[in-house]
Amino acid sequence: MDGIFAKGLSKSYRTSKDSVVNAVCGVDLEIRGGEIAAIVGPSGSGKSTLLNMLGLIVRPDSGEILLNGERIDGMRGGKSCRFRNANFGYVMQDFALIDGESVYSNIRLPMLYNKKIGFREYRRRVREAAESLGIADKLRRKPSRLSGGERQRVAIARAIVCGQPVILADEPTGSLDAENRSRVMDILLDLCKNGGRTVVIVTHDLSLAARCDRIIRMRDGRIEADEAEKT
Amino acid sequence: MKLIRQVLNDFRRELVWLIVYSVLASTVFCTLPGLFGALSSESRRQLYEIEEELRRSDLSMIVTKGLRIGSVPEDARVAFDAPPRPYTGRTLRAMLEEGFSREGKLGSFAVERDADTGRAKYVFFVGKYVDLAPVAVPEDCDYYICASEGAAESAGGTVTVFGEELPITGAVPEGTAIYHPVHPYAAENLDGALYVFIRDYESLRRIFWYSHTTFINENLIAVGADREELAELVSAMHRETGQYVCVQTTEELLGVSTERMKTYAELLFKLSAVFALLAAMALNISRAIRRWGTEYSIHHLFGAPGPFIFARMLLFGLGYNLIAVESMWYRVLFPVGWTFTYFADGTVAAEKTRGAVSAAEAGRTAVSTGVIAAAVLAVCVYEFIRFKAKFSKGMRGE
Repeated sequence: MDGIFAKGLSKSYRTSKDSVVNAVCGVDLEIRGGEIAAIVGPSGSGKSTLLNMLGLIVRPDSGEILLNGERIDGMRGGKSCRFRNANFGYVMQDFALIDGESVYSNIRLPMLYNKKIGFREYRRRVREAAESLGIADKLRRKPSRLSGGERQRVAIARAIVCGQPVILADEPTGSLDAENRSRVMDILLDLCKNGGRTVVIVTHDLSLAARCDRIIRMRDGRIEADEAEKT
Repeated sequence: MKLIRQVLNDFRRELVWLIVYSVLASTVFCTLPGLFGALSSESRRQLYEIEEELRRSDLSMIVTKGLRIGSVPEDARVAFDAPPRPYTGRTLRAMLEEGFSREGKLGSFAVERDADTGRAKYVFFVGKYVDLAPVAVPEDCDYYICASEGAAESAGGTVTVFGEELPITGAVPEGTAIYHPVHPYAAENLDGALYVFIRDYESLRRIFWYSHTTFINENLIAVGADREELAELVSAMHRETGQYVCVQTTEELLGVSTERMKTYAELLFKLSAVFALLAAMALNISRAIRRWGTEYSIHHLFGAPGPFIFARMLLFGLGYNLIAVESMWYRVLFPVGWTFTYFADGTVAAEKTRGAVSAAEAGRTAVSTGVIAAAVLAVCVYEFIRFKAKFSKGMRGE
């Protein structure tokens, strides 16, 4: 069973002593390997919570998650960290880059915690990832000196540098202009179609979502519609 | 290795504030061991006991260290608050012989120090000061020698003091300190020293035939003397040695109690200052850790295990205080003191000495270090729990 499989996922937050918000309620989901899926919906519909649960950042209250047939929702501590490192690449709206470090150091970061990659490979892998995203000449710069599009490409390079098979992107184009939005989307599509990676994107931008294989619409913590693939 | 690199990188980016903080923290951390010592109930109890003893003994005068200022004009008057000086024809030596006799009213002490460490080696109590010591010295004994806790010699042996071999007869309690009413809070711990109690002036001259004036020039007290006797003594000292001396009356001595109150206020101030510093230290570390919170989250997201993040926080927090703690230990490991030698012609030789501090001070420094480390650990545990709670809510906004 290749891909991400989730069943009965629920997550609620206590916002005050008497108030509980059900962010995600019994979601069933299946995203096949090599597929690019967009999760869309209004603010507060549970898109990001669902993505965070799939990426082992937020622990679900109930339900189960499987990646390529392996159950991962019960992973804790170091095992969870190692699994995240080896399998997930995260791309955030605000890029989540370390401004005090160079582009090279930012891209290298996941490899520091990957025991299968020796430090001799760092330079080659960083360069390959940077070249594939057109930022090879920016490796010595600080992220704060780059444009928004370039910064997001750095974030994507970091998300693939360990060979992570799954990319989880939370509003990856939210801080970008139209041209860079399109370019970043092209990159994500390329990673999926030519790189064989599974990509899950949370977005408000329906025009970008329309370029994905699937659009999963959410409302009030539930999947309202799961539109079939276009191709 | 990568952990050390990351922590050093954190310091590099925090360098300016780190230097400012280290200077401030070094200053205040160095007061911590002293504070613990000052709060020691044992040393306070001993001071109380000695002071009570002094009160019971009707101490009526204290002559502090004389200050020779060269030749004194014939008509110069003693420039301090002393009675007029009647001239009875008695010499200073005659007064001292009488004053330091068994029935006399004078007392003094002197300390012989180790040239290398600067610590007290021999402590000589003379005349009335013998009665103020926490040891029952027999009346018929010219010399009575006691060993203290940690002294190289012990009771039953002998010791050669300035060429004279004397038996060691007793022992003094641990933690005994010299007490002088003028400087009650500068009491020095004398563990490791040998005590020599001398009853009269002849015995004093026999053993200190060349430097017995040390006992007159320094730490001289008179017990139960009236104003005329004091005036005669002061006048004789002025006439024969050219020394101006300060006189402190019983009323002034009672003012020492006020000083004690001031000292408690000082302790309270120090205590508050230390608490304020610890709070400031905690807040500063907390601020610095939160400043790197986003970075910790990114590292954790891409695979850095929780213990690794905690270790990074803790090393950063401990390292932040390393310079300040190191300066505290520097005082213990490389203490510097000054030894003053007073010569008969009024000159003073000041010598810088290095040596080890007492085990008690090293212990207090260790306790202070423990308190600081515990405070840092508590802050890091709190910040780590907070970090994990925030991380588990998702990465958005981090």
